[in-house]
Amino acid sequence: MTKKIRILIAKPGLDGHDRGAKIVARALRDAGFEVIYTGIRQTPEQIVSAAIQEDVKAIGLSLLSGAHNVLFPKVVDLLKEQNAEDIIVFAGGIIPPEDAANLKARGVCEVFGPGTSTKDIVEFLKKKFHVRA
Amino acid sequence: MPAQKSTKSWIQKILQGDLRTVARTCSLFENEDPLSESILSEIYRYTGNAFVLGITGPPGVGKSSLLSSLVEEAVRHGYQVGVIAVDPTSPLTGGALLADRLRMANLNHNSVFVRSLATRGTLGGLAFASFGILRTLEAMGKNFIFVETVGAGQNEVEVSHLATSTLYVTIPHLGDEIQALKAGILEVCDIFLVNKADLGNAEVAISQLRAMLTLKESSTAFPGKDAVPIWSPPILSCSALKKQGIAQIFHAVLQHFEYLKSTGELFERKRKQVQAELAAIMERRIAKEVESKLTTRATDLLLSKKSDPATLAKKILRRKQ
Repeated sequence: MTKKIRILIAKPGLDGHDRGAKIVARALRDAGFEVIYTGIRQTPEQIVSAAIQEDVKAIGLSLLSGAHNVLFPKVVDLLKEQNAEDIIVFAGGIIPPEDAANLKARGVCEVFGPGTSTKDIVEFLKKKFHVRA
Repeated sequence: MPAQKSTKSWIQKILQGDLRTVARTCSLFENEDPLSESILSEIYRYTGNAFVLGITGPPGVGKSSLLSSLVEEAVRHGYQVGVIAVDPTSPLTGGALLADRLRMANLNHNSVFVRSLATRGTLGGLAFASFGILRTLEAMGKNFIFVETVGAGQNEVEVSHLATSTLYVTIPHLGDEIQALKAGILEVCDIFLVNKADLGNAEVAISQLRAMLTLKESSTAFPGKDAVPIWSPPILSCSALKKQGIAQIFHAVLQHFEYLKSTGELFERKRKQVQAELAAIMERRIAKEVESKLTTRATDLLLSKKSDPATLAKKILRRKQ
């Protein structure tokens, strides 16, 4: 049995717009990843706790309410606190380019804006984890 | 991943309940990493004492939501709770979407360890790794472990191979009395739940289940003088969403546990379960062996009609011995 890459898809914050998160979860499933989907309105603490218990390689965060500058770095920081900074964080949602640059500087690995093809996200993760195409 | 010499400290961390170590150990079992075998042999002596509650039933009846409420109840009773939740792997892509946590979103206890598993090709409602992960959770100190199956149909009885007690969850309007008469999963469950009772018509489902279970009792029970009391499975209605009937379910679970202990059936079940675990591991090894025999050469022999499957199978197996 081959090793499977596990990814957590989570929605922090208070908006309930989970279409994007679900589409990404589905696309990753179809690309052969094991996706753990936590649903909406998760606190950074819940997300990090789930990521550690599930032993995922990456956390995908989706947020459309504008609280990304606070919540995304919080997840990154909590991972560091738990000695789990090997778990990478990538993100998507309504995120202005200048915020994206700032988030990357604060430890978010990649930010995908509106209109991103799911192929690009799959490619990004496959490259990151050396999965054959 | 632990190097050979640090296996000892790795085991120590499992026993201390270090979350990352436990989580990574679960992955070793899922990936069928050879290291998982040496870990199992080190932790096995610490296992076998947890109460394991299986939750099974068709897809969409509310197993995960019910699980979430029951976990809260178990935490309230002071148990150290672990959860193993299984969802299906896609047979086409090998990927999986594990969404049991979605129904547990309000679970706010750091003490509860939840692990989502993909079936990765295992039939029967569980994943092969379930056995090893159950042992790991026991070793970390969990004494009440929930195992939720893939949405199971009629024949997925494997959950009884590791659960102390098994709950069967169904909903109103799902089938008539003939469904309930069929063999399989209904025969191995200890407590029956009609969930979504707030939708109405729960009484019909309850009476159909009761009719089936009454027949079972009268067909087996001609008790002699020293006969042990027979467990008659309770049939309860509940609404996981509205949190109705949860305390009664938990009470029934504890009652069943007392029954198992007092009649000696607990020991009987454990006997069967260690056998099932041994069988599962042996079957897995044999299956891998078989896979390795499906060579191009064997295939060509068949395609060119130089041999036939029956003769070739005999030949390959004889060669091995």
